[in-house]
Amino acid sequence: MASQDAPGSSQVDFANLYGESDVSIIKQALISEQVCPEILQYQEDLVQRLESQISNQEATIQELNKHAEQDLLKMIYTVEVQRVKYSLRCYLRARLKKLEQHVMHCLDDPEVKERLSEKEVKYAEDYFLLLGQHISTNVLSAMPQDFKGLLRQSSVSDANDTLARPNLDTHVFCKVLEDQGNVEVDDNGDTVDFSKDDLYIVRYRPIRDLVRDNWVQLI
Amino acid sequence: MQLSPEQLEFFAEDVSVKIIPNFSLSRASQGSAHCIGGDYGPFQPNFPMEVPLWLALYLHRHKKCRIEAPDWMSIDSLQGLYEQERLIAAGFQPIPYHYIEVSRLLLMFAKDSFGNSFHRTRELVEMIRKVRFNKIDSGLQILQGPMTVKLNNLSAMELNTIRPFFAGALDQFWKLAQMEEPQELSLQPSATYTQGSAEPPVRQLRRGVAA
Repeated sequence: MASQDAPGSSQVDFANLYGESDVSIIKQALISEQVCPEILQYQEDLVQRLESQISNQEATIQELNKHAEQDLLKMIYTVEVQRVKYSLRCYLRARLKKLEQHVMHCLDDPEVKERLSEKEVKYAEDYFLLLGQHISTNVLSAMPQDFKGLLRQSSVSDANDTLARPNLDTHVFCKVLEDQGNVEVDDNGDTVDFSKDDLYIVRYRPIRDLVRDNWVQLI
Repeated sequence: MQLSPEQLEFFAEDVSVKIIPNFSLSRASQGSAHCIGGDYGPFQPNFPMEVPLWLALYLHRHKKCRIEAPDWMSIDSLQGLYEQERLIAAGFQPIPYHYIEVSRLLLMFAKDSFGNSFHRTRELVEMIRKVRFNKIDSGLQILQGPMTVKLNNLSAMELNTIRPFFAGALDQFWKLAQMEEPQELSLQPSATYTQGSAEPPVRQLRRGVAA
């Protein structure tokens, strides 16, 4: 079922190379999203595929309602659809939570904004508007003239310095999917040998690219 | 953000187990269930087959199948595993990634799969869990300084249990290590020698914060 890609889609889906179903891919996506300090690339194709599979399956269940003797099959399908929906919900919620935590950072940094879905950008903007209004009326209005900025601590700051950013130096658990040889985990040039199936606890920043390119999996 | 134990149990329900169904599905679906995550079936009475744990437990609850306990949950292999785990102090024995969740679910909802060995099985799993957690505990005690630690063969639940403490401690070590650096580059290294000897740890910290 994993191959319902839109024809002509040039994007290579690495996860599918392992022959996994969309259900196990969303499971991994949701784990990564929950344990990763920063917001990851939105899996647009995956979510779309799953949504259409869920509605197909729900149509099948409707169809089965007409046949009383197929009750068991109907219940199996219902249970599974609920499981898939739960995974999808967890995935989207984990993203929203991080989005709210670092809303200004997400909107400020174009590279991060790229990773959000259209709906998430809309959500972030609305949220930021409400948050900004709230802080302006309740806090900033009572501050001295030079300290009224929402994005800058004072008018002499040379950059936006009130933005909460995710801490990329937190430690994460990860599993190595393919042999990586020695990976630099420190600024001092310390390396660790990443072999297939090894589990490590490691600072997120040095393995950030490996996670993005799916060589290493967060667990 | 932490994964919850309930979520881990949910993930563990994707592990496949062997069942012996006592029913068959209608011809209309060729006797199989075509689920989003894959096709399961065809189901035939008394014909053993593999399905994910969630489906096995669901069918079992409705008295539609018998679940066969996985091989690693037999008394012999658990006993062997327990002894190996105790014998070899360094490192951990390979064990199914979701062993805690799977054994919990099976021992709770499919007691009949174990017959007479139910209590012994439960006891052995519990003993293995304890030995491993003791090892993890002593491993964490020698933790010092920022580092990358290899955790091969640890299971999902074990990792998740130590996550807040382990990651938190390493985060702090890392933070402190970052602070010490400016001291080495200090413009007045002599100051460290003359005054530093009086109360070295406090001094170090204060400089770190100021830097």
